[in-house]
Amino acid sequence: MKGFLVTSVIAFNILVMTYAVAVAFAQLALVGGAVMNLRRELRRNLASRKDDLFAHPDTPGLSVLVPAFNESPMVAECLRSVVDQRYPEFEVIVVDDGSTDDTFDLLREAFDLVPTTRVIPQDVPTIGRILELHAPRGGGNLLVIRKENAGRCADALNTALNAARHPLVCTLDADSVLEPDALLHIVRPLVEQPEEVVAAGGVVRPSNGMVLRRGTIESVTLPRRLIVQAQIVEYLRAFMLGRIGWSWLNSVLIISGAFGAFRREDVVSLGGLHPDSLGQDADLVASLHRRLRLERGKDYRVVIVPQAVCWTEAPQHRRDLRRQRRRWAHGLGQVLWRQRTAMLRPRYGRFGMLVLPYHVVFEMLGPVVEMLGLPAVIAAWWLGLLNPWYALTVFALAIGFGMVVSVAAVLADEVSERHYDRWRDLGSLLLAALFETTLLRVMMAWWRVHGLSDALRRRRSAWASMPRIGFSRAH
Amino acid sequence: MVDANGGLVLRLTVALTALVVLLVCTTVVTRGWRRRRERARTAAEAVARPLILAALDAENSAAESESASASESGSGSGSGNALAPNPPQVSPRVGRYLDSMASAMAGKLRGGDRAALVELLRRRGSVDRALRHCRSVFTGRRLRAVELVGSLGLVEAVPELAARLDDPDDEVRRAAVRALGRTAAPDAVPALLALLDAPQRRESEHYITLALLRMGPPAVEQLTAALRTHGPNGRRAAAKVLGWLGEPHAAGPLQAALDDAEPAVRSAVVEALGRIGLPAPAPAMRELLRSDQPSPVRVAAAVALGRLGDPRSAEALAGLLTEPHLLARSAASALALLGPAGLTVLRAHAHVPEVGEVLIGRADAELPDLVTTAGGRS
Repeated sequence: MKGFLVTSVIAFNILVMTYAVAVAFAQLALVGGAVMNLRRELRRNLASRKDDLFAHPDTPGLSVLVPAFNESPMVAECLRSVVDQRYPEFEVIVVDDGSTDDTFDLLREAFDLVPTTRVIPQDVPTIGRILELHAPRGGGNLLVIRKENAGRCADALNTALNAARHPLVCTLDADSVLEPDALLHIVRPLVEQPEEVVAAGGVVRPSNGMVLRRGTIESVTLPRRLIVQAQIVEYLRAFMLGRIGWSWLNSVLIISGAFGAFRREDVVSLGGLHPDSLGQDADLVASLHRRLRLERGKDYRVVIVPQAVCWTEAPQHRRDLRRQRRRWAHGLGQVLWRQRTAMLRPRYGRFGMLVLPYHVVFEMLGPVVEMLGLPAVIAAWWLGLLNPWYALTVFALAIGFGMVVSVAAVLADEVSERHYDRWRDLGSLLLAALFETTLLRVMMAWWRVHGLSDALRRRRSAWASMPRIGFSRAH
Repeated sequence: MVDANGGLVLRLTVALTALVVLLVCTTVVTRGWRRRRERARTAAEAVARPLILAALDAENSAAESESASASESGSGSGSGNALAPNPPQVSPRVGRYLDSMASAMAGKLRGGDRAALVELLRRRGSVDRALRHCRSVFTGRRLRAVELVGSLGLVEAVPELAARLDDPDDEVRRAAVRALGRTAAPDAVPALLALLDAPQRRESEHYITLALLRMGPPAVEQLTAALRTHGPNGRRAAAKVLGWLGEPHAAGPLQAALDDAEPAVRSAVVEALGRIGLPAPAPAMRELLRSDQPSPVRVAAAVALGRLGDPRSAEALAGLLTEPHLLARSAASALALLGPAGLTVLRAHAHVPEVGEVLIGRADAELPDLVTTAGGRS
């Protein structure tokens, strides 16, 4: 029996080590891809491109779709940051999905809304019935749709999609704020390469510590809470560097619903967003990949635009962070399950042979392997197999590698954008990288295991808003 | 075995730690370097800005004196080169910023002011240098050179810029497209349009059409000729640009292109005719509302007929009100622009949701009870 246990523990440890090396190489490849992509972007004359897009009479119109459920602390500032964007022709469609707080009252007061009318075609199916339509009294590019709550963000987005009148649509979370010219940036690849690029994602950054003045970002400082600082490092590493790396490989699976642009006809042809999916954003991109791989082969791209920046509030407390990460893991599990028939099928190209296997092995199962590592170490110690010095060195190696990637992300941000201007913020960010690489990652792995368990049990989860503190406002 | 592995892992750990320290140091040094560079740029711009303003002042003085002498002699134009000061003696660093600021400013100016900045850069030798650098082996240098001559709109640079349309670097190619638009040299029109139908199409139509639009009326003749001679993408782009330019002389050739074999070209042509606004092509445009035409062509024709405002189009547009949502909405919006004839048709079809929306939209300030309409045809 003991012999079997010894063999099992050794085999498992070899498996974990192999897995860790594979993760390391995969992450290094993504960092390398991201650096190449950023280097190319830094060379571009973005000012002239933006001016040309704005000046061009043929720049396609854009509908910004904003689903909102109990978003009263943020929604007005969010919309101010959108309606004041520089873009030739755009509309903002907010869907108040049966909010039980004063979301709509705040909007009515902030934008002087009055009832209006509009024919909304049923291009994609929806669940919640539309109750009222509102628009600013003096006209403008804002439409607010009040509808019955369907418990799903995707349903609110589908309603907004039906109402959208422009060929391009952009999804935006109601707790987010856009940087100036973010719309021009995110639309740029869709306009420059209309036959190739089918979707573009922005870079999402935590807005905690931001000061706003009428929807415009006045200043950005690093928040004081370590858990938020660590999330900022994580966003830089995973959501900025990681996704930009995937973009370089033309293999983006996740365009955050917080800020992503698509062609309306593509989304409509898919039947809209999947109403039961928790990860409706990833689900949409995965469905696009799947269809376009078959229709067009390699001749399409999904890209991440590093300059299209959207700020969104990150959870302040461990409890909220746990709920968020558990929901994300659950959503990822759902998406991968729905796409299982494309897995390892050569006709789906990189999507089937690289993107899906990577996300299953490293994103979905990664936390499970990390969590099983701890009992394996205890078992090895109990069986007398553990060399403490060796174990400590391996542990240090893992942390060291995590730190390399996290600090590389901070460096990439420093070279490309640099939002945290104070030296003190830079120091705090580098220290937070250590916390993120060690304790936070372990906690997140545990929460993600729970999320995966929810997905496996097909547990149903409704759209719920996270407790918000809102933005600081400059006076 | 364990010892050997342990040694390897230890060495790797030490290496990774060193790498982390190196990355941290690089981050800190990068920040320090960028801050220093920003300070240097601020200082250089503080020196360069007065020199540029002095050049503009000199031009204005020259223009005034020339204007005075012209009023006496009855002739005269120019950029005031006679009174332009000697090129300012500045350090190479300030010179770089001066070139960059002056060329950026020149891109936003016209007439004498622009000429003064061109002259300033000529005297500094920056223009000749940029023309030479357009063929540099270094991509960055080529790009800066193309951007500089482009912002100055130098006609003499057209051959160099046209050669850069085949540049291996996409950023240089785009800069060349932009620059050719600023030169307003009609000779460049065929080369730009040809890019759109190249077998290996690499350049964005969006930037090419904007460059053609920036050329303005001098490009009309070549664009009109392109409606017959170029491939489908070139023809479509030419039609679009002619419409944006609103050039009445182009209406005849555009009308002749209404029966182009490509639906995308027909859409662009009918849209262009709507923008130009001459009534003569209206009967031919109404033919494009027929159900045997693709939907985008019919939508474009409806919008264009609305722009023309010819009441005789009302009947033809009424036929679209029972079509799917997009066609019906386009027709209803167009009818609303046709005056009494259009309104009569709209009132007769008030039960159509798209018509109801247009009617309410026209009078929403006067209606006490607004109807909320949701749900429609796809």
